[in-house]
Amino acid sequence: MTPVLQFIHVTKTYTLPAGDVIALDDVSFTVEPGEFVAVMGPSGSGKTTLLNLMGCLDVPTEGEICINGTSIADMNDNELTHVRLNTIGFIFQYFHLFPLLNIIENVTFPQVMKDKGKANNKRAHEILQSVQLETKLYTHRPNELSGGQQQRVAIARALINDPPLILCDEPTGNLDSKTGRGIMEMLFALREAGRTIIMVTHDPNNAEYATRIIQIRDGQIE
Amino acid sequence: MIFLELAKRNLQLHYIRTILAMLGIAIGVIAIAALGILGNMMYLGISSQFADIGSIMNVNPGPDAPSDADNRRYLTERHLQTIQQTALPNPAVGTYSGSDIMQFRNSRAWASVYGLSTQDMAIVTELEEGIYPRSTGTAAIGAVLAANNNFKLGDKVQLDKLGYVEVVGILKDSGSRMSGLSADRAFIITREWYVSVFDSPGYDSVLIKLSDTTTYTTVMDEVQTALNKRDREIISIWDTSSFSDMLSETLGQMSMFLTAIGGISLLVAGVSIFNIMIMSVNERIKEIGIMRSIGVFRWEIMSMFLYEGVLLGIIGSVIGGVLSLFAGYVLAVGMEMVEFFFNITTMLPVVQAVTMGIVLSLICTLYPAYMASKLNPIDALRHD
Repeated sequence: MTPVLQFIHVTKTYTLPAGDVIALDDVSFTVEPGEFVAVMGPSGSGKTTLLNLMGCLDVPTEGEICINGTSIADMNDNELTHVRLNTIGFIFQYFHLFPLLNIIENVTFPQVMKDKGKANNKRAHEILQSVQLETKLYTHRPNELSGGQQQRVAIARALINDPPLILCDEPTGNLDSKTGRGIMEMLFALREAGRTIIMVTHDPNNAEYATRIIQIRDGQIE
Repeated sequence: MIFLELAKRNLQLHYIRTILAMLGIAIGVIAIAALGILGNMMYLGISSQFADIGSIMNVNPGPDAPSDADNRRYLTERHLQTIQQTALPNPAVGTYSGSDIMQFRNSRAWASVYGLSTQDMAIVTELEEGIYPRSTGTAAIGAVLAANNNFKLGDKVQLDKLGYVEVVGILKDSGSRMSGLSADRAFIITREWYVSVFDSPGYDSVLIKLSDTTTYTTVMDEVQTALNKRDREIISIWDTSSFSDMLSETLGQMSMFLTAIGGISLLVAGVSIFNIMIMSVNERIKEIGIMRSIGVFRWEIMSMFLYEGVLLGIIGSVIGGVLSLFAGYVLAVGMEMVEFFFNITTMLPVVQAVTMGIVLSLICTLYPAYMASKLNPIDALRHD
C-alpha cells in the first residue's frame, strides 16, 4: 500500500540576515494510511516547519517529500495548490473559519474550489451532522458559534473533499478541556473510520489518542 | 462565483468605506461627464451658429477685377455666367450691395441694401412672412431690422436714396453668418430697382449655393480656375474649410480641457480606491493565508479583490453617470441650450466617463489584488 506521507532525508534551512537556520535536519519518516500520528516537541523544535512541509505550504531545501506517492519537491505554486486542494484537510488551532461566509458556505468552500461549481449542500449537511453540529446553526456566521462549535465546523470543512490526509495544528489549543476532549474523540472516531490524521500538539493528553508519536527536538526526530 | 459573493459581502461589511469610495468615483464621473456635456453643448451651440459655413460660397471681385471711377471693383454679367456654368448643378446668384440712410419715427440710421433677381432671392434667403419684392418701391427686410424697429408688413420706411419703401416680406433670422448674405439688418430689393438707384456697373459678389458642403473646395478650385487665368486674380474666394477646421480644433481642445479638469477628480477617486483596496488586502491577510492553505489559487485570490474594486467602480460610475445626466440637464437649462442636451453626442461624455470610472477602478485595484495573490501562505497564516 502506498504511504500517505513520506519524508526522505528532509532538511529545511531558512536563510536569515544573521545566518542560515536549520529548522529540520535530515528528517525521515513514513505515515501509512489509517494512522493517527501525533507530532510533539518543545517550542522551536521544528514542529511548525514540519507541518508547513506536510501541508505543501513550503518545499524542502534538501530531501524528498512524497504525498500519496508523488514527490512535491519540484512542484511550483500551482501544483502545490492542487495537492493541498485535493489531498489535504487542514484543522487549525484558531479554527480560521471565513467570517463573511455562513457555516454551510464555510464547509462547502473547499468543495466549490475543487469542483469549480455549485456547493454540495447535501454533503455539507451530512458531514455537519456527523460532527454533531445542530442544524439550526448552519446558516449562522462563525462569530455566532462557540469555540467548540467552530472547531467542529473546521473539521467538517477539512472533511468535505474527503482528503486522504488530515493535518491538525493544536486542534484543542483554543478550547476548554471538556470541549477539547470532545474534539479529540471526534478525531479518534475519524481515525477509526479509516482516515489518516497527523496532529501537531503540545498536550500529552491529546497525544494519547494517537497510534504513533513522533518526538522532534532541534529539528531532528528523536 | 463565490469570490464575487465574498467581494460583495466585504463591501457590505465595510459599508461606510464602500459608500465613500463609490461617492468619490461618482463625483469624478459627474465632473468628467458634466464638463464633457457642457463642452459638447457649447460645441454644438457654436457650430449651429456657423452652420451655414460652407453651404454658401461668396465669390468676390479680386484685385484684377474691373473697377468703376470710385475704384470699386465688380463682376460683370459674363463673369456671372462663367461662374454659373462652372458651379453647376449648384445655383449661382449675382448680388448688388450697398447702403442707404433710413429715416423712421424721427430717427436716422444706416442700413444695408441688397439687390437680387426676385427668383434668386429664395436661393440665398428664407422668408418668415410675406412675399419677396417684385417691383420698385417694395422690399423684404431682415429679421433683426424688423424686430429692432418694430417693422410690420405694409409699413412704409423712408430711405435717402430709395425713397419710400413698402415692407412686403420679413426674412428669417439667419444668425451669425460667416458667408452668404448678411441680410438680418438689410433691405432686399429687386436688382432692377437697385441698378437704377445706385447706378452700379456690375455685381458686388456672386453667391453659390452648395447642395453638398463637402464639395466646397472642389467648386472653389473649379471657379477660380475658370476665371483667374494667366495669374490674374479676377475673383477671390474665402476658403471657409480652413476656418471650419480651426473652429472644430479650438472647440475640441476646449472640450478636452474641460474633460481633463474633470479627470483630475476622477484620478483622486482612483487613488482613494487604491487606498481602500490596500486596506482591504491588509485586513484580510490571514483570510488569504487560510484560503491558500485550503487550496485556493493565486489568480482566484486576485479575482476576489478585482471583483471588489470593479464592483466599486461599476456602482459608483453608474450612479455618477445618472447624476451627471441631471447635472448636465441643469447646466443646459441654465445656459438655455436644452435643444443641444438631447443629442447623442451630448450623451457620449456620460458613456465615456462611466467607462473611464470602471476602467480606472480596475487599474487601481490591479496592484493591491496582485499583492494579495503573491502573499506567502505561511506568512499570511502567521499574520495577526
